[in-house]
Amino acid sequence: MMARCHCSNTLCAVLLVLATAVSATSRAQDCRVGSLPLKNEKLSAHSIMLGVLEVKDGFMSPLKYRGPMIDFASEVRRSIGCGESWYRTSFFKLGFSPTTNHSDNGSMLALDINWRMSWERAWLKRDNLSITAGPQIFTKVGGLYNSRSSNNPAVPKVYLAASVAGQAVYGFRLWNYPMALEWRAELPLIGYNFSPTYGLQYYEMVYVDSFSEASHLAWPGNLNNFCQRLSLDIPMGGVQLRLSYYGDYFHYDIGGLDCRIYENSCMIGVVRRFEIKYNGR
Amino acid sequence: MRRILAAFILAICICLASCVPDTYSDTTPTGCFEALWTLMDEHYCFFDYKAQEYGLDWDEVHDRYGPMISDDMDDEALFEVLCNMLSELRDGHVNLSTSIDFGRYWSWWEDYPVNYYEHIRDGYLRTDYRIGGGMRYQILDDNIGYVYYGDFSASASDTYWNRILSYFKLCNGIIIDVRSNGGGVLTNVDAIMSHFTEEKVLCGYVCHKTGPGHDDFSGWKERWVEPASSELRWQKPVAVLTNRGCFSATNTFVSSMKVLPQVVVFGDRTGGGGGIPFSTELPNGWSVRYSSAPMTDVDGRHIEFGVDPDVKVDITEEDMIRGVDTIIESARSWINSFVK
Repeated sequence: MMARCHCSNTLCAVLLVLATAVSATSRAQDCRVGSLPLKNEKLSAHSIMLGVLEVKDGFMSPLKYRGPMIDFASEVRRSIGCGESWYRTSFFKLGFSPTTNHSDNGSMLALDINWRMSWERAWLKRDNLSITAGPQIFTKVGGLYNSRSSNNPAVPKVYLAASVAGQAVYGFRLWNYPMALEWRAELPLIGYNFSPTYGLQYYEMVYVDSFSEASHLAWPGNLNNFCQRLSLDIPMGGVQLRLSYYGDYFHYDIGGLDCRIYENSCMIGVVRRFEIKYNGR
Repeated sequence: MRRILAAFILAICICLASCVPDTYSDTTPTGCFEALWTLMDEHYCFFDYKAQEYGLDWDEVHDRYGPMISDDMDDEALFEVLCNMLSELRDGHVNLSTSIDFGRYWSWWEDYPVNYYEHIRDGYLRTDYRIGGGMRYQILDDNIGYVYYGDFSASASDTYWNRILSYFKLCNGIIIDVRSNGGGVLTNVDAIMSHFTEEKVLCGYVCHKTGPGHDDFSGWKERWVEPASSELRWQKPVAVLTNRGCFSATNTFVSSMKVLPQVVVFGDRTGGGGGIPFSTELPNGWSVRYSSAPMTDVDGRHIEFGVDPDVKVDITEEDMIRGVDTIIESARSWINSFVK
């Protein structure tokens, strides 16, 4: 309990320092909370996430593992093209989780690295509401490591997909204070997934089979992944404080093995609006 | 707009409530027994082979051990019943690992002559032997290189074998002693063997289970070993020494080396362990290991119950008293027969 308190205090201190530093260094800017970036702007969000990860990977164990998840996430959104109807959003997330089984006598470490890039069109653009959606490149790499498994101690995770992403932003005032509610959803559709199949051994996979049996076409019939974020942006000084819920639900049933990795996290971060200078070009 | 907002919030609530289901959540003795029996039933790879060899009937095993389980039994009693049930598989790769004890089946070597005594071996290695990775090596008085490799988990990299073969280059032959080597990393099998062949050689087959049925297997895949990329590859006679303590990767090594024309195996039948092991867990967190992928020799024969030597030799009682290793001496005589 003491360790947890210490961790949360440290985290609060880090966030406070981060927010202070960002506030101090940011230029005085018009904090148009909830609006899409203008042609010469980009929105940059950096967040720390704390949550819960649940894993059940049929290759490693039939048991469910659960544990705290900590991530760092960064998102940049800017307008592209001549007008202000297309936006490019890049997202990076690095997460780590030490999980245990329900008997608390087995531990598994999870590492998750995500990178996504989307090109979204603004389908609706009003003063207080905007909706964008478009195609996305979705990559997810990482792995699971179970310390008690001798011959199958780890399983790498590689998932590359073409997906669709969308976002709805609703600006409103609460007690005369401007805020924005933002919901972002990402749905990978088709791509490549690396996953060992039922009974496939590393020796066979690496030295005999050259990974061919562990490489699969992933499509909604065998793999489902859905990521979403619900955020509340609150202007604070020259920046916006972002409080979010983030969910990532990853599930596949390939080669006779079922794998489920669910992340539910709370995010706290800072959003800044930058002016882009083109140096006359 | 309010409807959309409500739908968003509802979606979030549903996702927040979502959680990963547990396949085996019943942690009672009955739940653990059923989970263990089912896990083995769906994943163990030698049911059909062992039904032929000694009449193993896994359904009958369930019916025989099931009545011994009650939900008020303690962990020690449960452990004993589960271990006894697993012993029906007669497989050294099957273990139940708990804080109570390490459940094992070791009859594959405990019920047979030892055929290896460290103090007698030390008489051959003397005290000025060399160590390279997991190998201890010495040139014997009759100009024969002797290598003892006691653990396939210990390093057997090209660097060490290049050094060993360079040291032995004027020797008439090599003795590779893998007695009482309980196995380790399979890739070390290929790494060592690659120094004893001039061409890519087929040394066996491997397959894996593809589903829960007892006969759900992938097709057999060929295991090839390529010559080591270094210039040091041994072509003179090689004697491989074995006993019942040769298990798992060592068993595979012996089976693979037998393919090579200049290799002769001396000693006792190996202990077996022809399935690549895999680990899983019971609902109460106990760890289970089992064979999941069978391997065969180059002729397609299972090596689960061991590999026969080319020359069957046991250490005699007289030799043992005199501090002589009968198996090493047999190998030396064979190598010396090539010396003109």
